[in-house]
Amino acid sequence: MDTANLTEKHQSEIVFKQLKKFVEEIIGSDVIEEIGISEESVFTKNLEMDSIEIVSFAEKVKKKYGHEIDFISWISKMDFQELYNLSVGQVVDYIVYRNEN
Amino acid sequence: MRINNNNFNILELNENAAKTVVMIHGIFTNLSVYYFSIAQELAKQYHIVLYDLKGHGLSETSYSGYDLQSMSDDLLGILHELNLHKVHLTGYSYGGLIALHTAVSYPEMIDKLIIIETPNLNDGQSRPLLEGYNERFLNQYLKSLSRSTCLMQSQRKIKKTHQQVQFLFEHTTLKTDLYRNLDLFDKIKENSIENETLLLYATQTECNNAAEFLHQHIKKASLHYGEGDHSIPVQNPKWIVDKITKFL
Repeated sequence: MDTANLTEKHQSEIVFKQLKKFVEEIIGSDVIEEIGISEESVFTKNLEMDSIEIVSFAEKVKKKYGHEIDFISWISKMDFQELYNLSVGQVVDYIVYRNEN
Repeated sequence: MRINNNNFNILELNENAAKTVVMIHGIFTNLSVYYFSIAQELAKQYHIVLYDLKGHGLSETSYSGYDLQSMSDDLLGILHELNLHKVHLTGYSYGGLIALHTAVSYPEMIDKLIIIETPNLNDGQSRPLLEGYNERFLNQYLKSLSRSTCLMQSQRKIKKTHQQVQFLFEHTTLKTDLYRNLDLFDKIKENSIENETLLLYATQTECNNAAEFLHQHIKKASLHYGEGDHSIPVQNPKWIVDKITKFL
């Protein structure tokens, strides 16, 4: 693995930790302990977040990373099925790699 | 933000824009109805203020004060706290009634009005739904909540939401408050709204009596029908944004 990949992997880990912290602040660390969180976790299905909690999450991401990425614009382009299936890992990828898929 | 002894969840977008659009959601939903699409598009040009009504979303639940007068007072409190003196006002469903009530009672605070899928609770078309409140109603409501926010809920969330709605119905004055201020449409009939008004309804609306009434009795109103049903803000947000942008 080259240095660039290592750096990106490290960045992904840092961003994941930050996003996990946001989710904990919104739904509670006790819930996270119970249901667990990984990059595969889907906000609605696995983390059981409802619409207003996803709004809170989006605002936290915007506040933290808004100067680097247009997170809200990205999430607003999603149709509801995409939003329903959005995972933590997709957000990590968008923040680190600007990967929109 | 603390208004009228209640904590309100308020969210602002594009705070530096010159003109402000305040958007009020409907009963039993929350500000997310606007957040993901309509508000983000309008925020490219306008300062957008979204808030959760009391007892909804992340705002505090109170024992009383769900009638239109109290909800208008909450709105005015928010405008005051944000130092806003005249705003464009958008209301969806019950939020539209709050917007209309505010325009009737405090016209000096409102510039243009946008009313989306708003019923007349006094015309018999909407009344049976709430009066027949029971488990069946609650189950229908939970389905419509998923549809209106377009996010399916887990069993745990459904239970939590079920408890919240049940609490609002059984332990607060909400159910009776919804039927206060029923003379609103009579006041509108007396031509008390002078604001330019945009009426947006769905082709499959169940509020067509209200749509036609408002179109007839608000002098400067235009009425448009877009594809969808009562959940049109999430079903057809592009149409809503297009209509609002042209109107403002």
